[in-house]
Amino acid sequence: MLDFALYVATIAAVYALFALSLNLQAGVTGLLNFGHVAFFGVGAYSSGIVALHGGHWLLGVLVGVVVSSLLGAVIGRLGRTLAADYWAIVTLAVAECLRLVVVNEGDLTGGPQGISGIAGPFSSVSGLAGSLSWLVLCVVLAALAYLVAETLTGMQFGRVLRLLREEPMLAASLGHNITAEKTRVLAVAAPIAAVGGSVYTLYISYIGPNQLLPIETFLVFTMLIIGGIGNNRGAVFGALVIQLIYAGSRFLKDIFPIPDQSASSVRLLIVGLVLTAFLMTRPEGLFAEKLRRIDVHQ
Amino acid sequence: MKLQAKDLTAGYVAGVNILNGISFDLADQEIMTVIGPNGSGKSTFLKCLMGFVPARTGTVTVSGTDCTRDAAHRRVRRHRMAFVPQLDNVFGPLSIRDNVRAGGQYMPRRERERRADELLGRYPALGDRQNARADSLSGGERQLLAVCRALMPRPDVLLLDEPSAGLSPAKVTELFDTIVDIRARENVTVLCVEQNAVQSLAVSDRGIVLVQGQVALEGAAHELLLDPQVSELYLGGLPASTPEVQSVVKGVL
Repeated sequence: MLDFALYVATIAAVYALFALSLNLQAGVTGLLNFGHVAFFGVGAYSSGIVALHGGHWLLGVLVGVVVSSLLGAVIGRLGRTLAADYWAIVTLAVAECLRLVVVNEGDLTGGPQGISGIAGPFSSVSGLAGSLSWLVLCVVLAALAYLVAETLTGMQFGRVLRLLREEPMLAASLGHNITAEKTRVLAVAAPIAAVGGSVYTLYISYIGPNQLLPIETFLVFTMLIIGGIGNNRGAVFGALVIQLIYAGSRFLKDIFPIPDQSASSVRLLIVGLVLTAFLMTRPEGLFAEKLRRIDVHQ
Repeated sequence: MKLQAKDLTAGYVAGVNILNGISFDLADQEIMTVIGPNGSGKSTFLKCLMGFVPARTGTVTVSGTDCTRDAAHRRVRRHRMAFVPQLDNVFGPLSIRDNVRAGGQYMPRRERERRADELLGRYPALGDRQNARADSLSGGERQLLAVCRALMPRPDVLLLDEPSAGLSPAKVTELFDTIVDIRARENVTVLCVEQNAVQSLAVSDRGIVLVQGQVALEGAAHELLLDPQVSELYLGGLPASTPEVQSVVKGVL
């Protein structure tokens, strides 16, 4: 049971990275990136491919960070000519293209079977010590990502991003280059998700194309909505809540007569119900977006 | 010429033009008012000049430099244009001073503070309460704040989208007096899209009447005020001979 709890906490920390990254884009800047899983996938497969070729795990993480940042910048530049809704569709298309490349380039990516047996930093540490080491690493990374996200959103850059979200025309009339700012936030946010993807792969020693399905992106959107879109703390708590729901739903079949093959569908159903409940009763999420407080002297 | 447009066409939907070949010249430090019925393309005209709506054909030049293909931020930074959108154009939760400073975010810090002091010192309605939240201001004061923010980087051309929208008559007069004052102090060229034709034309040098995306009439502001057609359509049906219009025209002349 302790092992299971450690596993849930570790995966929640990994998803916190994923959610913090999306929060910078969708929550703070208003960029509806429906292909966010692509950044996670770039990190995950960078680690997998480097490991497959005998490279050090750290090299895989670094490759993921660099490639995802470049991919983020390229996707951001597409916003120069595309309206927000078309851009959102293109991001989904990019992620699906990446997944199809992964499925079809078997020599490089392991194809539909994926890459297994990937060695991580604690692969030689077994038992409770190994699980605890992973948990500490993931929590430290999530904390660092949280600090980065808080710093970015609290500074001038963050205020400009919020202005882009709320009043893009006003932002441009104040001299802000909208495309450049969007490119910048994507180039910064993408590596956070890529680190999440790398750590996930190293932790479970496997990566396959099923981890790049669009449902992963929408699951992270659910985390943001439940936690509080636009709030970094909300992103972290949203990831934790969803992972707890996922973990808790495993025990449902012990109480209700749910067939094994339906368990994952029931899990998604519960997530959907929780999401609907939040949207109807608490649309701002667990932690509403923080606005800057100022002293008021009338 | 400070601001010039030639054969400007623009629109939102493919094959449908909102602007149909607009041409005009605006000399240095002139004030021009653009009037026209609803749906005539006034706001699109302003957005096209600012680069928010791309021109399909034609050119826009500022101080002789073509900026037709430049994005809005480049027109602000490189061509020294400024734009004040209609309504909801201040950051309510921020202080008045922060709002003004927001207009000069890419200026060196010291220069930005000095410029904010200068503008806030000039308008006591803002300067005396510079640490108060912007949403505590009245409609007219908000409009003044939005204009001050636009003036931060010392623009050459100021585009105003219906600055008097939602203001009481007394505040409208005050606002237009302020625009004249700004022109004198800042040496700025002003183009103003307005529904409030009488008062806007009264402080303008020239005027344009837009109808279906075309320049239907163009001329000196006082001539437009006396034009029977303009009077009938845009001055509330007041004949040019009525004391209201005559007093404004006398004031202009």
